[in-house]
Amino acid sequence: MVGERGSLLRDVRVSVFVIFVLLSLFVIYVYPPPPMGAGINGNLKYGLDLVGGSYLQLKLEGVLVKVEAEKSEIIKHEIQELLREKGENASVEVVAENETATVLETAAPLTKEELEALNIGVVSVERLSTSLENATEENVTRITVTADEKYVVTRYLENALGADVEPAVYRGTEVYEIRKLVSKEELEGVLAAVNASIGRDERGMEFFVEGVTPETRDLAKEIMETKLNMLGLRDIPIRTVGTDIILIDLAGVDIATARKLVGKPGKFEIRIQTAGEAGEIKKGMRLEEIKNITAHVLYGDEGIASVGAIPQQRRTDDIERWGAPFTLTREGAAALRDACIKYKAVEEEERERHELAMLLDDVVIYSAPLSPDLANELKAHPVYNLIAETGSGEEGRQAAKELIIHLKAGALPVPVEIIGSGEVPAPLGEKFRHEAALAAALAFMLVALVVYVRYRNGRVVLPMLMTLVCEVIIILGFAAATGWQLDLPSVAGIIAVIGTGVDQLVIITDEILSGAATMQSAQKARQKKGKTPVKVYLRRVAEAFNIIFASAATTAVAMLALALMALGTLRGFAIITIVGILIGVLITRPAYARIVQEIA
Amino acid sequence: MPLLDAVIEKVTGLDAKKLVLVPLIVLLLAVGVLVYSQLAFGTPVKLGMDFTGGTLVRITTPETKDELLAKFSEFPNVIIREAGDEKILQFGPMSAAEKERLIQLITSYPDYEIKDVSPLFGKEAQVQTIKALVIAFLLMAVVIFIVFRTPVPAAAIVFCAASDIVIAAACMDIVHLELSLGTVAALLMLIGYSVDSNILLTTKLLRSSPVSGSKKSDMLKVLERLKAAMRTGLTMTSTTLSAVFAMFVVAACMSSLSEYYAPIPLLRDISIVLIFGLLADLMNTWMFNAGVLRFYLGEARAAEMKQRASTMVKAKKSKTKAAETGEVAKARKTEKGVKKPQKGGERRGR
Repeated sequence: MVGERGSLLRDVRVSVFVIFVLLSLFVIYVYPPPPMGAGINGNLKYGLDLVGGSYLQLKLEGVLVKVEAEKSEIIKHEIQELLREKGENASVEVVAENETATVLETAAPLTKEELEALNIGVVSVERLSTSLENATEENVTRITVTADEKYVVTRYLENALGADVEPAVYRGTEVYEIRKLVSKEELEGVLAAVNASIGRDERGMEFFVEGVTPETRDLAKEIMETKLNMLGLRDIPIRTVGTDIILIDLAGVDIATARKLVGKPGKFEIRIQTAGEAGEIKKGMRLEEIKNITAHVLYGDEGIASVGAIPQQRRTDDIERWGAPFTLTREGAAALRDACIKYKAVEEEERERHELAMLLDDVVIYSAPLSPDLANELKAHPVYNLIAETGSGEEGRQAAKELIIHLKAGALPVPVEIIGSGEVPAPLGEKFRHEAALAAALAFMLVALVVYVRYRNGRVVLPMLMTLVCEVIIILGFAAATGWQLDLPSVAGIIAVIGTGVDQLVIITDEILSGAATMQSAQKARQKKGKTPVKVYLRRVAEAFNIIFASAATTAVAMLALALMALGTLRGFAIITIVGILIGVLITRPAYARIVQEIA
Repeated sequence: MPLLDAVIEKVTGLDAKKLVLVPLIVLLLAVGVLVYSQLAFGTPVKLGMDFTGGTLVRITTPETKDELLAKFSEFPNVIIREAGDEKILQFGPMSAAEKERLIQLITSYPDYEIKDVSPLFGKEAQVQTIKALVIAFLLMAVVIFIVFRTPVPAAAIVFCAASDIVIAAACMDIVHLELSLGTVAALLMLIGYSVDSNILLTTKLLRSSPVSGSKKSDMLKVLERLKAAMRTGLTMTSTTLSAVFAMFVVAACMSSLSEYYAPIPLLRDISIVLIFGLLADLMNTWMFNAGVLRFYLGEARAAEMKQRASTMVKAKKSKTKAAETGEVAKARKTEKGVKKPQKGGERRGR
């Protein structure tokens, strides 16, 4: 064909192509300015399998459930249980009820304190006489419980399941979020005791969903982010999948630290020993083992006002001990003092048998009697500043550092289960990165060889390979512009794009070359009819593009299914492939077709 | 290219029925392998730990297999594979405390890689994989039927894609490659890849379908188009194969050449499956699909002829069979005369 360079560059398809290649190079190397020492990598970011690091896949454990319950039934049940525990077999009757309050009567005497311990609302108690003759003999206890239904159900579920429960709204339905994994059977048992049941949704299905509300998930994510930031890590990608799965990539963090830091809630609790011998509570014991010989004093979330920034070192008897210093709130300090006095931990002779135990995620991390100084101080007034000792040496210092992070950021709202984790150490990641680059380069060379052997014509092969290179550059530009992290699956995707990309270039080339051949023979005949040779090309190119569009569409839909797989491990592969296909079909192929027409 | 041309001549020279038969036999064998695996192990393809859960550890250590077995005996279901100094240890699901201990042990090695999947995650992955495969396949089929609109060629393409996947899966069984997330991605990729050359073939043969009275010259034209399509198609598949082969060489073989390289299981698995699938696709496209299309184009034409002939025969109220055959021949001749200008008109229209 007759054509000059100028006309080729003025072609819309070619100029769009050139602009995209330049733009890509611009975002990779010029703006935003790449970090110092980035070299050839420019603004490209690598996934942790190419730089080293660990990843965690966490499931937030919780249940969302709709409950059909009668407030009065629950209150009655709880008071009956209380009476049974006390050995009374008096019955309880509901005498009046409205939205805010419930009035019950029972023959047995009950105190306000006993009822308040049930934790089902604000209670007032009157001792009344029913017999008119003897008005001084009080034989009926009238109990008024002021609480709405949500409050009562929440407290009941909390008491019965031993888990935090929050009323919430999920997909427009009022539900209770149980912040612990409970089975449907267990929950049904608990509800059946108060004649309640699991509520149904509009389709008549029981509303029982494993998972947490998006709000709780986001809160958990936020707390995790805070904890990781405190470890000195910035821009940690935390992704959420659905409402209960959280994926975290931690470049440059080893797996043990990662699991300790965000793989558990970080719930801090102080308990006091109430029974048993001195030294019975040992570090590493679980809450279940010591529950019966200790009493709860306070939780980190409610009782601690502030936490020291760095681990504190104390030297006693020539052993260096590390600890996390923290300050209690007014209520926390009062609770601690009350508990210590109540269980006589401040008395010199009793002190040894009433240790103060600190637990992280229900595991004892520290347990020791009050020091004599502290005991005397507590006798006189509340003490605000405490230290949670974590041990000696480097291990102790690390543990103190982790404890500080947990205390500062607070506990996760729900327990988490690590459903997947892994680590690629940094040196291995670097090897992978070099090999990935090598694989892409080798793939390109082999493709070049095959194409050359097939066409043996530099005028065809060179533009073809240039187009391929530019296509990869545009994909990388896309990755840089969107901050996409190139991981191993993405590299596989790029190699796949090299493979399919060249396929489509081959289709175009063959169509145009054979079109050129037929044209030469038929040129004279056609010119007589007034047909321009361009039309032959256009028809040929149109047919080539039909094939290309169809095959691009099939690959894209297949990859779409992979991209939508929620676990997302191979999303990189799928997205790079789809992006590569789109770039190919929309930008590079049209330009290539134009270029080949020019030179064929 | 003489080699390419020789291959093309050889394949196109064969009888269409024989061409179709070979891929069908291979497919049957593949199905047999999958059924055997299903009966023997409970799944058509052996599930890797991405789907069953467990912990996988790669360490580089001079310790022997037995030494390692003794060292890690406290953990459940230890399986150890070795490749030189590189040892792969696989463990069954274990408690959180055991896992912490294992991680402590492993991280004491200078060179290690850990991957841990809970059975829960594995279950979820299984469900999602099946979903993804089914959705991808259905979407692909829909696209194919929309593009071609004629049932037989479209069905042939979809059948080829299915056959590619089945054969690739059977090959995985044969070389003891487990199903991992990487291999699933490769199988999905095959859906896209394998359809490429089929689309090319079908488009070329169906577009501007040959119309002439004589069946013989029809077939010659079909063969000619087939050869052209095959030249393009074989080049396409060989470029793809070479790109994938490069991936395989780097991910699987380089580590045995030099200490500097480490095997990359993900890329290796993806490339193995793609190589099997692409080879199966070569066979399915150029033998099965090409055979079916040759048959379809020939048959369709013959059927069309017959129908036209018989209507004409009816019109002329012919009485004997012998006369009928004579009429068919006449009808064909008339057809030739009538159709040619029509086709020319069509071309001008474009």
